[in-house]
Amino acid sequence: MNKVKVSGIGITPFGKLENVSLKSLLMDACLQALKEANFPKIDAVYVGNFMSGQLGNQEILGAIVANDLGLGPIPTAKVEGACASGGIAFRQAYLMVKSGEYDHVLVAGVEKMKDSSTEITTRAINAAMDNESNEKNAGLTFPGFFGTVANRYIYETGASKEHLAMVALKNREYALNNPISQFKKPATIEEIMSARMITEPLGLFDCSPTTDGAAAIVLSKGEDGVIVRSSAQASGTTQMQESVDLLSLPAIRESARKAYEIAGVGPDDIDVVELHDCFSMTEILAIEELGFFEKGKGWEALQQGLTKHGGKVPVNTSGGLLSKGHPIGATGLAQIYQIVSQLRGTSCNQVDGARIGLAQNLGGTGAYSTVHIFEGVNL
Amino acid sequence: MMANVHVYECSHCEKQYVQKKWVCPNCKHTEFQSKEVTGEGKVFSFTKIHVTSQEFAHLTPYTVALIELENGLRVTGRLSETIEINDNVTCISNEENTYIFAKR
Repeated sequence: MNKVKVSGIGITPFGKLENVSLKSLLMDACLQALKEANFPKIDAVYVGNFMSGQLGNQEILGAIVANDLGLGPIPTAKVEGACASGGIAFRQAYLMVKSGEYDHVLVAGVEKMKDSSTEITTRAINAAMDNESNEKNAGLTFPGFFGTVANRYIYETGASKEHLAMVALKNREYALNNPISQFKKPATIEEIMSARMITEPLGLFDCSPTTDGAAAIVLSKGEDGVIVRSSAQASGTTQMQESVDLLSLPAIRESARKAYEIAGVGPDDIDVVELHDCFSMTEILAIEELGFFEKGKGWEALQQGLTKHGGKVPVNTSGGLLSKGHPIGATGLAQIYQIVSQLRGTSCNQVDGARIGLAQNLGGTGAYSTVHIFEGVNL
Repeated sequence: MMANVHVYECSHCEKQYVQKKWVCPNCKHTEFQSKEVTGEGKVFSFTKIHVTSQEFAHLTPYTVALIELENGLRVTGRLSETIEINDNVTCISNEENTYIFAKR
């Protein structure tokens, strides 16, 4: 088995990018990553994307990348796994290099969401639920799942809406220092708590925005620089009513367990984390499921400032999905972009001496999760 | 007015599911029977939805709740009332695979 390193990274600005097409976003991110890697001979391309067909009537993203970047007649594919599309695409690329099938693989993620109305986009996002179901018929939305979880979490643990707001505030404060982030306006806890409701108790700041953006990574056979220590993926329930424990996301727990096992490390070894804060509630569940804090105690960690600089482990130093933005197919790669930058020592909100980092990407209402662990070697 | 909740029961291990399965996750058998169970239960959790897709926009704000039925099964349904966790509710309509609940 080969060792696998990150040999190039690229990212576009995140936000409402008018007059910039899905394709040009994708190409910009890929070109940056290829330049940084010194244009190796790419053997295959994987593109993470969720809704280019639904919203933009555009598919065949892999072949477009190969053609317009002059990569030759190499195999390519688009990978769909809802909000985990990027993480799953990365995992496919990683497995191919690790197995020895390919030496260099380009993996990218892209989404263009701002050209459509909120109603159209909400409908498209609902495709991340099992829609042949009484749940869909009841009018449950994707954010509504996490709103229902949040009310139960508050009921069982003693947390309050203010703890959800603390997640949003932390990630906004980190986003202020990230040049590519969607939101660069400071917010206050009062403003976050009094914002209009989306799905109670989640208000506007508790929900990740719709975003345009792309990110790309080149993976190569190699043992120094930032290396991939492990890759793991798991599936979970596709319906709220089938969740055995509503306050658990078993796909995160299982993917983390496998990733720690393969890497031979545990939560205490991790110096910096990017995780899937699609909603403020989701970040609290994820820090519990990833083993950083006990189940039902994640809200206390927020209160004590344990998930930022100076705490136990800084979480979402990029600003997270909540404030950096959430271009769905790009998110998994953007998280890895941030972790690689942290391990190189070149990141916004740099964590001093960060050596081991973890990226966790979630799809659907817990339907998919990927966990990747990285280490900086001889940097 | 009361309505039942439709479930699929594994013919082998008798485990019940609200959602149709092709293979029983519990015992791996493939035969199921349709059954009706009482629509009485209590609110396990809920959310009041203010922003939704076009299809449901005319109903906003509306409440979607996860109801724990008396036999322990959970089912997702819609309500038009203000509710709290642990409120007793009953299913009042089950047409077209859509469950509507109300406080009792």
